[in-house]
Amino acid sequence: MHNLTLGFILLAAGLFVVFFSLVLFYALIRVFNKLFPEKNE
Amino acid sequence: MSELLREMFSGVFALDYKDFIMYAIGLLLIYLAIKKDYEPMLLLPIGFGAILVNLPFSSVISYDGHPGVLKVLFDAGIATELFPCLIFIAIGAMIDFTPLFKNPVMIFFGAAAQFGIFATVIVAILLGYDLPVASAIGIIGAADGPTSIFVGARFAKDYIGPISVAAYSYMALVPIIQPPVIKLLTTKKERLIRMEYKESAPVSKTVRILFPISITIIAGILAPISVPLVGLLMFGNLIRESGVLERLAKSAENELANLVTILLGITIGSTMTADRFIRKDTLIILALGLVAFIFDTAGGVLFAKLVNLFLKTKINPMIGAAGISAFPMSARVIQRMATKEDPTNFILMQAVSANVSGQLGSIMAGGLVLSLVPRLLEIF
Repeated sequence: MHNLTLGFILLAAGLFVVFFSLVLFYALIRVFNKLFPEKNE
Repeated sequence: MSELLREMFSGVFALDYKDFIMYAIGLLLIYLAIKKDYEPMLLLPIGFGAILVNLPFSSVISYDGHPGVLKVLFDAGIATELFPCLIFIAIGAMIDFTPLFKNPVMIFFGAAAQFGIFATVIVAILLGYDLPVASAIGIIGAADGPTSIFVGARFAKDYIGPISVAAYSYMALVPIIQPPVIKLLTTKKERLIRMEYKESAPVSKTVRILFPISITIIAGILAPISVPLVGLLMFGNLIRESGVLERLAKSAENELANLVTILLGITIGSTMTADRFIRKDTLIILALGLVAFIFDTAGGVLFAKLVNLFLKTKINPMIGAAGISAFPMSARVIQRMATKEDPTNFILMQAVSANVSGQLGSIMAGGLVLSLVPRLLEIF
């Protein structure tokens, strides 16, 4: 039971943090694309 | 005289029926590699390693009380996690993130398709495994061999053989595993959805250089323990994108990848001794690996369907399934399915973007598992 509870916490926390990280990466790509467009190179 | 004969044929007398089962498994892996072309770079060395290690008195593991060559390689390359880390440099040098930069919204599918990892952890716990071992089994769903080996080496050393075999076998079986799951969860109408691909501006070199550096810093702060995974992957990518290290980038994606793959494969094979492999757990782990890939695919597709509820211009939900890390296999499978439904429907670019995101998502998930599991056990 204890392990199962931890498993569900891992499921929730894991998915949340993976999504959160990828949201950050998404924002990063958008910002970089805006700040450093190819034409300025 | 009989003593002498016994000595001469000691290998024959030492044979056990389990050894023959392992030779058959080794031969099966070699057959799948050569005849079916299923991840031959890994399955062939793993299969041969499984045969080597199950020969009577296998001196590749130990002789005269000294560690044998494969034991030395295991201690140096797997127990220390060196080989998976070196493979990450090679993979980083191979990955081109440009499709993702051009279509960044696809990054979210790289997260949704990691659902299989965490769902499988729950199933493994229900089957009686403790959290660290269940996590190492669940990580097969990362569809990323080095990540599976990395996590397995830390949390489930006893099961690293079946975990690696499952991870690489199912990656090769993506074209067989994914289509029925996708078909089950989507309607024909959904599979026919067209997605317009707008050719966006080329991505600048600055963006391509800043990306791996920033990701390393962010991942290192969010999950410090993931640095060997993310950091070395991004290091390989930086070598590629820097534009000034062409020779090193080529070495990383060719010589380094090839050399480490040879050693990694045969060393993983060396963990497949009969007493560790022929047991109920191996079958359970292989089954759970399949469950993980099915849940990954389902997670991606269902997430895409959920997103569609809020979008005016719908996306083809099959794209969600490409969010797993098996690159470029998964993207190709999705395109093939789309073409089968409608020969004029091309969603390959979007699928590739989701697939590249899957590579990011899988290492983030691997890093998270590594950092969260010990914390959870510590706190609770």
